[in-house]
Amino acid sequence: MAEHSQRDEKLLEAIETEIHVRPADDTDIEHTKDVAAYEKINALFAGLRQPGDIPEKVGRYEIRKMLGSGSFGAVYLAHDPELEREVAIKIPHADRFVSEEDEANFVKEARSTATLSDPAIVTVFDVGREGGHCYLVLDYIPGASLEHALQGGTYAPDDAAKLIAKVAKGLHYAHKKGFVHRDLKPGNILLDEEGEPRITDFGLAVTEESQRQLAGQVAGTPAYMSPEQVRGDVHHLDGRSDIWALGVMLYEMVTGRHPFWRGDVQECIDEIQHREPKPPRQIDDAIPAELERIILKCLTKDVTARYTTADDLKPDLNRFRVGSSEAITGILAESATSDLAPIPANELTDAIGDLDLAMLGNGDEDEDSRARDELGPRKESANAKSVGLTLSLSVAVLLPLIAGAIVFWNIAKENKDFQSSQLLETAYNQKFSGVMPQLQIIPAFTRDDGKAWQTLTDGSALTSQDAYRLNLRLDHDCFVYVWQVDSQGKIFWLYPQNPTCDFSSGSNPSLASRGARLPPGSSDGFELDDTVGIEHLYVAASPTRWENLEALLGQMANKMVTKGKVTEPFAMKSRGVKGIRRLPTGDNDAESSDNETSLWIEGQGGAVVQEIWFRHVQDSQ
Amino acid sequence: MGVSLSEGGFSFNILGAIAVPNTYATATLLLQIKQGDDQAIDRLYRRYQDRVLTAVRYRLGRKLRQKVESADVVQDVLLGALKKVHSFDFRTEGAFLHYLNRLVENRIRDEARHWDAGKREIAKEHQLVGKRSDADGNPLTLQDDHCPTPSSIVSAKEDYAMLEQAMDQLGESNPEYRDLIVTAKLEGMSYAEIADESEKSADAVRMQLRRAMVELTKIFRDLEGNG
Repeated sequence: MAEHSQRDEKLLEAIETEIHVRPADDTDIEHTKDVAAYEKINALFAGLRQPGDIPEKVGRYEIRKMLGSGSFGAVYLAHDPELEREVAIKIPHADRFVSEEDEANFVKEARSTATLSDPAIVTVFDVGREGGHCYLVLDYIPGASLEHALQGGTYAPDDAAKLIAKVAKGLHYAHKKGFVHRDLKPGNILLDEEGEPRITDFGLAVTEESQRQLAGQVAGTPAYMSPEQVRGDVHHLDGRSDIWALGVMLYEMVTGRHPFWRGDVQECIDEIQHREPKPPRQIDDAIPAELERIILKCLTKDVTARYTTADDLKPDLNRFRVGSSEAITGILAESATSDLAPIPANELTDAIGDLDLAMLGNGDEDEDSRARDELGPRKESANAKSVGLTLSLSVAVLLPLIAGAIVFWNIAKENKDFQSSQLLETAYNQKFSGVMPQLQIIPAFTRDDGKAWQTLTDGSALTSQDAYRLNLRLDHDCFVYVWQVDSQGKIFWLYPQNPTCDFSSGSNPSLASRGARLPPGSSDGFELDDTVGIEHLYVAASPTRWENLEALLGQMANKMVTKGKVTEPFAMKSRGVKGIRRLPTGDNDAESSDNETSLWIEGQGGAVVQEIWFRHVQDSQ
Repeated sequence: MGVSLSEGGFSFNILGAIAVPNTYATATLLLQIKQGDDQAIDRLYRRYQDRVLTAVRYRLGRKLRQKVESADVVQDVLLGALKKVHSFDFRTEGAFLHYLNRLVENRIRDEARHWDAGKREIAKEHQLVGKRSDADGNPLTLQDDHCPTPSSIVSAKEDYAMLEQAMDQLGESNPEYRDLIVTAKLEGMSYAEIADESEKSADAVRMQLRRAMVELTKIFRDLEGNG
């Protein structure tokens, strides 16, 4: 009995700490087996949560076994009887598609990736639809992924550079054809039996033309995402985001560490945006300085300061191995054999140029800057083209989102007027009146004693010394979200302040729990005591939780046009709502006896999103 | 205490990275149904049929399971429920699935009582205990009873049969554990949601689930040993 309970406790602890993989050890075979069985059970349950079972045949392909599954879908090993070969078949979850149109888009997207043909890219052979499922037929690459290889330890700088140079070559090819991978990570770099890298999962890739359609559907793995991806800048993604990912991988390969903290998704994302990674040589001083420079250049937060193309990266990677005869041979060999087609003259010249530089530390004009790099820090002006960063949207965009929630806002501010609110409301009515009859915007701001309150809708100026309290009261059990947008278009969460994470669902935890539940009749609120810089405040109340709120807000952040900095004093204006009011001293409703401004929002059910505008006084007339 | 916007408000970022399209899709379909789009009912039905069936099977246990397989009851209930989703306040996928499953289970239990009253023993109507689906073309069956299958699929089937058996055994000794595992692992409800429903703390739910998994693991290993 005692032994049993000890066994239980041990397994419990393994589950608790999530340390499932333990080396088999003679002293505790039982426990190892327990853990293995536990993992198997979990995998079986996970399989059951995938809609549908393992198919036997998809199109003409005979499914042999499941190779893996993830949030995107499942991948199977299959046999193609016509061409007599093994293929990999990827079947995205049917859940990914809401409509026939979605499916058609997927197929279209997949079909376009089938035009990619490069030794460093896993080929898409076929794509189709069957029985409510879409599928993608790919070249089957036996072997492990780079992710798997990294578990075995770090790479020697030379090997890492060689491998990433090959990946960069394939990537450059895809970039030239207009594809951005967007989700490059070690798990998506397969290493075939010869150890040659093959990029896969261009299924998530997006061609430039379809970027617009995909706005807001942010895809990718945060740990390898570039700052612009993390910001949701989907409209402006280009090959340089993939170059960032190459930098992350290279960093990881030589240092054995990820450049950004991965323990917590939010923290990781913050670091990607705001923290410079620790220079690799501080982790291991055996890493060549030039490689460090290459890595850090890939990891430049400013997209314009990164390598412009993946092709620019390749010669740098080859060159840092100065003095290594193997490297020089490598460069020549690569140029000589990289394609079946005759080697274009310029490519050969490039390689020779690299070689020259490597040996002599000299080169043509183009290479001069690179040569200088080796001597000291360089100026980035040459590459600092400002591309794709201008946010210049001038239309009101309405984003229908998620069930039970209605969001609207104004985006057009280029002319610094706020006329578009009317446009928005019209759009709103057109969009939602028929679509969600059960959800209506109700007058969200009410006042219970008009006399007691001085509304602020008259444009009276407020100063930063004013204290505000935002109170929320709903008669309906709702999820409440409040965020503000500052004059720079940056979004800050205000409420809930400390969203708790819920990791139980196994899927995107922090999203699910971001809404604070506000039970009927109760109220909640918080002070805003540093109001400088607030331009917009959004309050949303919805009976359903907004699972993709963050992606949505990212999209919104994208569209925020930078205005002049808000300075005090500024006026506060509400759009078409009543009841933004100044709380006089001594009022009974006051949660605080201070003379503060209170915004009461009272809903009667349904979902509400209200936008409160704080306007710069100088702009208001 | 006041909250400084610049410091206290935390900077927004995209976690949508790992965007869970499921909830979005379901929520959208629900809205379409509410607008009277019958095709959306079909889509939603297709989306959930297997998962409802799976969860219901696991929770009902060996005897009642055959009811799932023998009748169109699941289809009836599910389609009926989907037509009436107006009354359902959609929050999460897990909660929605849980709601559907409960409807189906209740109906099956009702029917079973009715049949029992008529002195008809379910157990005698069907002989294939533990089989995962019928083969009569019922649209709700899991597609796993077809002809030759590669060995890897067979072994997955055996694993699933064993898991089902283990869940049955667990259900006999501790139905609460079994139900909790179904709710968390198959329906995908979060600890917080389960906690809401069961009036426990999320932490208590988490611990209970882990203990339940320990029990299930032990039963599973015993079965593995015997098989």
